[in-house]
Order: sequence, then C-alpha cells, then structure tokens
Amino acid sequence: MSQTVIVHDEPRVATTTGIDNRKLGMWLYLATEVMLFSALIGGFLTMRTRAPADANHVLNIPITAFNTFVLIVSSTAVVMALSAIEDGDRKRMLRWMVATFVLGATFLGIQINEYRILIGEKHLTTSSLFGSGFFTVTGFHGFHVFVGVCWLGVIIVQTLRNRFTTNERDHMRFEIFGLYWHFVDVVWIVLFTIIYLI
Amino acid sequence: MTTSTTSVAVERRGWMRHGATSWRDYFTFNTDHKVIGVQYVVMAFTFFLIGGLMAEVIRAQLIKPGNTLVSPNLYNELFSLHGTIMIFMWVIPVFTGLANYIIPVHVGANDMAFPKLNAFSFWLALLGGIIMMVSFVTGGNASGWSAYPPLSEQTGIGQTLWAVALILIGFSSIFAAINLLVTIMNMRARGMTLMRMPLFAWSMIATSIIILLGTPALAGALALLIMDRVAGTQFFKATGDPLMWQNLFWFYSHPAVYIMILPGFGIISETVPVFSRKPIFGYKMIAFSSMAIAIFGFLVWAHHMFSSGMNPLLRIPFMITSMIIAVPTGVKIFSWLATLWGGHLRFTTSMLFTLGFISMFVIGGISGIFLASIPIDIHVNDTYFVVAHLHYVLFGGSVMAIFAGLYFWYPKITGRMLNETWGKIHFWMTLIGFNITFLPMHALGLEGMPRRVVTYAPEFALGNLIASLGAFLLAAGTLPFVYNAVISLVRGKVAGDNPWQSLTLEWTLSSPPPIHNFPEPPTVDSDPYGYGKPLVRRVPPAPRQEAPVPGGE
Amino acid sequence: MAMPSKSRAGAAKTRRSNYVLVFLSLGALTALEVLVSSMTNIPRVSFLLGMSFIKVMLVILYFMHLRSDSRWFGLIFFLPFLLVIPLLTVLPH
Repeated sequence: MSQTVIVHDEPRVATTTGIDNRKLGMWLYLATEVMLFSALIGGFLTMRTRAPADANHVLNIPITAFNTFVLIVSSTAVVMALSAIEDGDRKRMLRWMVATFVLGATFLGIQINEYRILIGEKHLTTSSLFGSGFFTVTGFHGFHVFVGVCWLGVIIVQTLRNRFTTNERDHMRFEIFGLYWHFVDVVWIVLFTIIYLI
Repeated sequence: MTTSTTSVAVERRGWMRHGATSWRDYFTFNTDHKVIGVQYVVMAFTFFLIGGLMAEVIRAQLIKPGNTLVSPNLYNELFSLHGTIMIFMWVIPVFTGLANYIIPVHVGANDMAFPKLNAFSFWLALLGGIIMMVSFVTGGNASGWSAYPPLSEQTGIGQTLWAVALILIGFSSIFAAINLLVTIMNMRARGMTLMRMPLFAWSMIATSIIILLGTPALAGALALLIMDRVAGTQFFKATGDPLMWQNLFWFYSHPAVYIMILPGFGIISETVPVFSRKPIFGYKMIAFSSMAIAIFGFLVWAHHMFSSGMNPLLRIPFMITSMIIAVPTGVKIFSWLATLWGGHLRFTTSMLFTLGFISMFVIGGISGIFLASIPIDIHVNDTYFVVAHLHYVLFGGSVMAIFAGLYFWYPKITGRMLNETWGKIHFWMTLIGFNITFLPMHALGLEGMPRRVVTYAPEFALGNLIASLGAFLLAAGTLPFVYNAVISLVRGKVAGDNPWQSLTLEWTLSSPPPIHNFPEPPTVDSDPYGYGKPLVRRVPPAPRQEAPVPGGE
Repeated sequence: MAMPSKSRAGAAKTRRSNYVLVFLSLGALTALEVLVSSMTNIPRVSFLLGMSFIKVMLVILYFMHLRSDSRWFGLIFFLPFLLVIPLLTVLPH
C-alpha cells in the first residue's frame, strides 16, 4: 500500500486551460457520440411511430432489466477501480477491472442471446418496421460495448504485464476509458426506456 | 530573427516516423504534423485533378444537345462522384492539411495534441478515398452526391461501398477536428490569449465544432442507408420515411458547406493584412462572426428541402435563418474591404486569389440569398441556377482561398518561392475560365434547365456551349500551377524565413521549419496583425513550475 | 509531495460512498421503471422519461465527475443537445 500521495487532478504537461489534453479530447469525442446516437435514435423513433403500438411486446423485459442492472454494476465497478488507482492499490484496481470486464461480456452475451431468440424463433426481423429500428440502434450500442470490452481487455493485459500501473499517466488513461464506458451506459439507460418500456 | 537549423535526421519511434528529409518519408506513417499536412494537401490535390477530370467529361458531354459521349448511367455516376470527391476528398482534406501544417505553429506549439491520431486520420482518409474510387469502377453512386432514396437503394453494390467510404472519411474528419480543438485550446504559447490568436485559428475552432457535431448525423444517415440496402430494414423505404434521409443528410451537409468555407475565411484573414500591410479591421467581429456562422449553420438545413413535400409551414423558419446567416459573412467581407482600404497593396499571386475570392464569393453569396427565398427556390431548385450558386461559393470561394493559401505558404513549407509569372497566368486563366463556365448557368437555371441531366432541350444549347468552352479554359489553367509547384521545388528562389514580411509565428521559423518547430517556447507579446510592434519577445525559458502555466483567458 | 494523508483518504472515502449511493439509486430507479411500465392508470411515458433522465444525470454528474470537474466538459457535452432539439423536432414532419 502506497504512503505517498499521488496528485491526479493536474495534467501531466502544462496546458493553456489547465485541463488534460486527453480528457478534453475524450469529452469532445463524447459530444460527437451524442450526435451519432441522436441520429440513430431519431431513426428508431421514426420507425417506432409507424409500427403498431404493441410491437415491442415481443421483447423480454425481465431479462433486459437484468441486463440494464448488469451495466449499472459495471459502471460502478469502473469508478471503484478508479478509486483504487487513486489509492495506489494495484490489486484492488485489477479486481474491479476484471469485474467490469466480466460484466460487460455478460451484457453482450445476454444481448446476443436475445437476438438469437428473437430472430431464430421469428418473433422479430430486421425487415419489420419495429425490427428495423430495434436491431439497428441496439446493434450500434452493442458494438460500442464490444469496443469498450476489448479496450478494457487490453488494459487488463497491460496491467498483468506491469505496463499499466497506478501512476498519474495511467490514472488519466483509465479515467478516459471510464468516461467512454459510462457514456455507453448512459445510452443504454435511454435505450432501455424508450425501446423496451414505452 | 535568427532560427535554428533545419532537421538533419528523421526520428524513428518504433515502427512510426517523425519528420522528413526526403520524399520517401512522406509515404510513411509519420507523426510530424508538417509531414501529415503535406500528405493531406498532395492527396487532396490529386483528387482535385480526378474530380476535375470528371467535370471535364461532364462538360464535354454537355457541349451540345443530344451528345452521346457517355452513357446516361455513366454520366450519373460521373456527376455523383464529381460532387462527392470535390467535397470530401479535395476541399475538406486540403483545408485539414493546411490547418495541420500551420495551426500548431500559429499557436506556438511543437506539434498537434495527438500526433499518432493525426497520422491515423490521414491514412483513414486516404483509405476512404481509395474505396471511393473502387466504388466508381464497380458501378458506384449514381444518385447524386446527395444520394436520395429510393434511387440510392436501387443502385448497385458501388453505392454501398460509397457509403462505407464516406463513413471512414467522416471519422477521419472528426478525429482531425478533435485534434485541432485540443491543440488550439490547450497548447497555445505563453501570452497568446484567444484574442491574440491568428484568425486562421479562430476559423479552425469554428470549423472543428461543426465537424464534431455535424458529421455524426451523416454517419447515422449512411448507417441507416447501409442497413436498408444490406439488412432489409425499412428506414427510407416507402413504408418508412424517405424524407428522413433528406433531413439527416442535410443536417450535416449544410453545415458541411461552412466546413468548406470557414477555413478559407481564415486564410483570407491572414493574406489580406499581409498584402495590404495593415492591421486587420475588426478582429473581434471576424472571430465572433465565425462562431456565429458555426452555430447558425446548424439551423438552416431544410432550405435544401423546400420542394421536397416537407411540411410547408415548417419551411418559413428555415427561410428566415437562411437569410440571417448572410449577416456574419457580410461582416467579414466588410472587414476585409476595410482592411484593404488605404493599405499598401502588393499584388502577389496570393493576393490576386484573395481578391478573386472576395469578389467571386460575394456573387455566390448573393445568389444564395435568392435561393433562401422559398418562392424563388421552388422555381429554381434542381436547376442550373443552384449549380451556378454552389460553384461560385465553392470554386470562386473555397478553391480560390485554397490557392491563396497555397501560394502564401508554399515558401514556408518548401523553402522556395513559387514563380510569380506562372502564378499570374494560373490566376487569370482560372478567373476568366471560371466565370465563362458558371456565369451563364444562372441564366440557364432561370430559364428552366434542370441539373443532373445527361442532355437537354435545344434552347439551352448556347449557354451550355459557352460553359463547356469556359470549363476547358479553366482546366487548362490548372496546368501552370502544377508545373510551377513541381519546378519551383528545385528551381525556385530560396525563400528565407519571412518572404512576405508577415507577423504570425510561422514566419519566425526557418523555411521549412525545424523538425520540432520552436527551439524554445515563444512568449507572445502582441497581436499578429500589429505592424510596427515586435510580436515575439525572446526570453530565457522560465524555471520549471509545478502548477500548469496559464496562457491567458 | 507530502500531504496530510488523512484528508485525501477521507476524500476518497466520501467519493466511494457517493458511488455506492448512486449505484443504489440507479438500481432502485431501474426497478421502479420496470414496475411503472406495466401500470396503465398513470402517465407512464412522462414518469419513465423522467426517471431515465434522473438516472442519466446521476451517471453523468457522479460517475463521469461532471459535478466536480471543469465547466468546459459540461459545456462540451450539453451543447449537442441544443442541436438535437431542432433535429428531432423537424424529423417526424
């Protein structure tokens, strides 16, 4: 356990605004992602309003509610890992990272299984109005989760090889990963409500 | 001002390189913003020639009515890809390249914020461009660069490739925008407050914001189009909403035209004061009007849809916003004119293109105001009037600004001066050829000649003949530039650090600049247009401090 | 770099308990949402949208540290929403 206090809030290299370059870069990228998902959600809503009102009743709400919970837990795991980095506790950091990884993979697994059931048992296809919107927007979201899981996988491997530690630089790298992950969680919160519940 | 010597070696970082000493280095994955800038410009110019060649074939087909030079389907593919290439592989990347090269130096930094991402952006754009050309040979987009469904869902496999290529190019653009924004916000030299930045930097802030927030809408539209074509979804089919494509597409593509002009405005704001030897008039107004254009640009898109069958009442707010957006641009025009007024004008080629820009862009802007009016637009939409307008703003505007910038910065980038005589020949052939080509199109459109047609009624014959002859002159006028640019690399006069006696930071460095730009971080003392005041104060490097050093506001 | 470890450790503990509180709120709200979605005698849509909005803000403000970080990030993140409004207004027409 480290006794020295690690100051994490200031950027490594002096910047004009005092904000770290990469953090600024990630927030800008998230602004882009907001626009992208808005366009896709717009597409979904257009399809949804033309589809019959009960079109989403083929969806499995209990399983998906559980999946939503999985993602929420994973976001919590991310901030716990971040907290561990700030305390300089590598073991704790690694545990929470692995937990996030497992949860993310679980989300994907459940999502893919849901697709399999819907398509395989012919409850929903991409060529129906609701299906068009559903598969497209949840598919894009799922792809974002997949990218996040891969990214985390790389970080975990680097940690195991001792090339990712609890220093300032890696704190920022993990914080940036966290921002992306939380954003993907936020998108799912919105999607869960407007696709499944309404 | 003395500067350090140029670099003598290229740095290797793993499998990546940084810096260039020979032409071979320009074909590597290179993280030096100066190399990347040149890579972008050369790639973009190549596509300019390709897109231009397509235009020449179009004009050759249209030289007389009933011509059978190309088949109707090939003709459709030609004009579709001409538009796509000129927008996405010429104007946008060439400005990205110039910004890449100049912006870090303008703000006093040694490179962009994310050099590896920068290199990746370039190679991604190039990949997109290659896929775009592959789409052409596989029977590509034949539905116009705006690819409206249902037609764009009925074309061949090339249409899907076209969409994929555009998505890649879009992402390249977004990453470049992020890089520029972080660089400009975070890496300015000490003493360079936002109000002391060169106006080119302001224009790139505005441009990058538009790219950041607009391009995803296009990406979304393309994704939905691909889903419709590949996965059988119904987004833009008759049972879905074909108009949704137009809304999503134009939500990006209108701001896109500001992406294509704002950097040009920035360049003109650099050349006008230098070649009038006067401080720029209305610095703050030019800076703020760029931001106003960025914001307002997002609120006008449906003026491309006035005759689409959209809700008629909803058209009115868009007409209003489309007229309002002329105001910030007008502010700039007047500022530049006021800068020229009473100045000691030097008519270098760069200045000629600058003056050409101002005059031709105003013409294009005026025809734009006409188009903003719903009753007029309903009459002339999809006619050659629109073609005239868009070419006056994009060629008479953007392309002239690009050449103004190329002639301005060529000495800094290569260390050699371009030949002024060939430059003037290039300019006059361009200006005259351009006007002969596009001026008649206003009349053709008003008389009812539709656009995107492989042939036309005989009453339009004279206008088309004139336009085609003008186009051939315009094309020929590009050759002096190509010759000049290549020959001057070896035979041009050595440029020295500051051939134009300009005050912005790039001219304090050698030509070309050292591999890491500034030997010591500059401290900026006054504004970049303050002729008579020294810009940079050379101080010994400040002692290393723990806390970040604020650069200003 | 010697600073009183007590205050930093204390700050870390506060942050962690905040995270736990947010997590519990998110869980509760999700359960509530599922419950509300099956009820018919209330304005379902407004409730559901309202609850998901709260969840979204909790994640953004606390997990993404928007509450404690520079104001720039908030500006950057919320600016696109201003543009989304005209887009989603015109789209259905």
